[in-house]
Amino acid sequence: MLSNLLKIIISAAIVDNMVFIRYIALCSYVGVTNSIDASIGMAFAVIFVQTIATAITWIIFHLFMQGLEFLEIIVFIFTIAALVQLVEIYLKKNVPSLYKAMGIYLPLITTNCMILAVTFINIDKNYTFIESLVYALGTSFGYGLALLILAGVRERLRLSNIPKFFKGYPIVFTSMALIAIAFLGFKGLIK
Amino acid sequence: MKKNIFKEFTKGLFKENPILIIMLGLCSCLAVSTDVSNALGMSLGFSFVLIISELLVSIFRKIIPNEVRIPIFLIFIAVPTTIVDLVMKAYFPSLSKSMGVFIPLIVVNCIVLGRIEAFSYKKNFVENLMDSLGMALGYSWVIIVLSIIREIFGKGTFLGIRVMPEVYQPMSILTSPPGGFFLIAVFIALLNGILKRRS
Amino acid sequence: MKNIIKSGLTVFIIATIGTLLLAWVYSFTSPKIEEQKFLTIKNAIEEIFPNQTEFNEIPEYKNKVIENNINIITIYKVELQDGKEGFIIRATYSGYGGKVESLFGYQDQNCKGVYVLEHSETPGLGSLITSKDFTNQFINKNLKDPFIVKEDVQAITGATISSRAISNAIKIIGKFYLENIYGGNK
Repeated sequence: MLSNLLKIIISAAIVDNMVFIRYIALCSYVGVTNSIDASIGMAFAVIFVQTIATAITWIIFHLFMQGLEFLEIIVFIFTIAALVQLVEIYLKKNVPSLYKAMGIYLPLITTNCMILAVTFINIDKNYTFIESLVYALGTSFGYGLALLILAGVRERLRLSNIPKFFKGYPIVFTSMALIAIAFLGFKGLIK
Repeated sequence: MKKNIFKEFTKGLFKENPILIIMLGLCSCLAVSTDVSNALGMSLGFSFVLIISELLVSIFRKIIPNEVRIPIFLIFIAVPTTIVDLVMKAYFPSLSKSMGVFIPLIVVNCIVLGRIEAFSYKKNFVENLMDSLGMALGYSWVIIVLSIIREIFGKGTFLGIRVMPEVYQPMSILTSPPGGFFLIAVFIALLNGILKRRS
Repeated sequence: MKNIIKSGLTVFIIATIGTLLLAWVYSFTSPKIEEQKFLTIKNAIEEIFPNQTEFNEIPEYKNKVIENNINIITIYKVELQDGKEGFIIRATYSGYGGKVESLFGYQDQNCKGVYVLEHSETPGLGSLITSKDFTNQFINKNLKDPFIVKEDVQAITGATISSRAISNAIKIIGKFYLENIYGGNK
């Protein structure tokens, strides 16, 4: 049981890294990694929202949506949008320090496709409640890891001499390609 | 006036290309461009959702209250996305399987919400029609060209039929994530170069 | 206040119309989706037993873990044209890049073939486990054979682990079949 959960978390975080292996959440990823501070804030915001969103959508789907599976997309996106709003309001009022750290990244999260993708995958793979939560944690840790790695690389890129046409996004994607090769090396880790 | 409308159409192809210039919708672009058939399916699905939702917003924009516009936009996007998902599952099961989670993810494709929020809510029907057609085409040509390169050189096939000679060893790195990231980097660099040289 | 009611009402009306529209689309696509699922299985079974006339699920073997990482989803009993019967075992097992889902065909004491439904092996290498060149070697292979890669099983070049995973699964599930189904029905 425990080894199964460990397997899920490692494969979600590293072997099947959402950004580098499954191409999910790229838009916000490329935008946020501009600075290390922003990456850290975003990483925590994602871990936080992802876990709550997974728990809520799992409960909604398994308790109320028997026979209404076709409404999955519409219900989940609304749940997540509402959740993000509520979290924002709650943090602003009650935990101002936390709000300061990750508040401005919360609105960005509604359109972060990873949140929605993970909730869909949980339903698709028929995970139990605990497994879903562990999977959500794993993917969001993996996302945080990816954010920090690229943010670090980009910090260095700023000082380096880059070919003219590769300035800006092209060099970012080239770096991502090289990091992705490293992540490919983890394939086969989980037996 | 006529020229202006035409411009709304052409801007999506190169100058404001949603993928290469605005850098949105990258997830689905890279994920489905490993096969030409996937890319074609995705282009159709995405174009359908984008065009329908932009037109819906332009029709109803007068009666949408400003404070609740985001939830309404979400409905306008989620409904066509679900339709695409169901239809694909029912009539193209293998295509739907190989694209997996990326069909429902059209709903959070940043291009759609971005266009609606920045453009559709302020413009009229014809302009929206032109804009959505242009953006859909701009998205489609990028992923289709990308998928042709990736499938022919990465797998040696085109639409699943072997086109490269038997001795050709497919460069399978192209169909894996690193190849995808690198190709998109080259694409952006090329387009940047061309646009810069022109101006 | 009036504004809130108006806004809420607009969202509500649009949501209702959207839901009704989806329910309508769902009403005619869902039978089709079920049919497609059935067809996928039927085609795969026909691939293994081309002379099949009828197949039925055996309910008592649903979702059974038989060994670490090998999980039987369901078992079908297949009636053949010549009056004999074969069995299809649908199972998941670990490959190189994650779970692989396949149908395994067994008849008497032989493996009758493998059909890979779903996998996430490396494109171009491990993904060749779906190719006929690889799977044909298992047709009519006796289950008493050792099923060891590079000895009596031809491995795919550069994908030894994927090849081993599939031949191991045939052997282990085959053992389960011989002990529980084949003997029990005779």
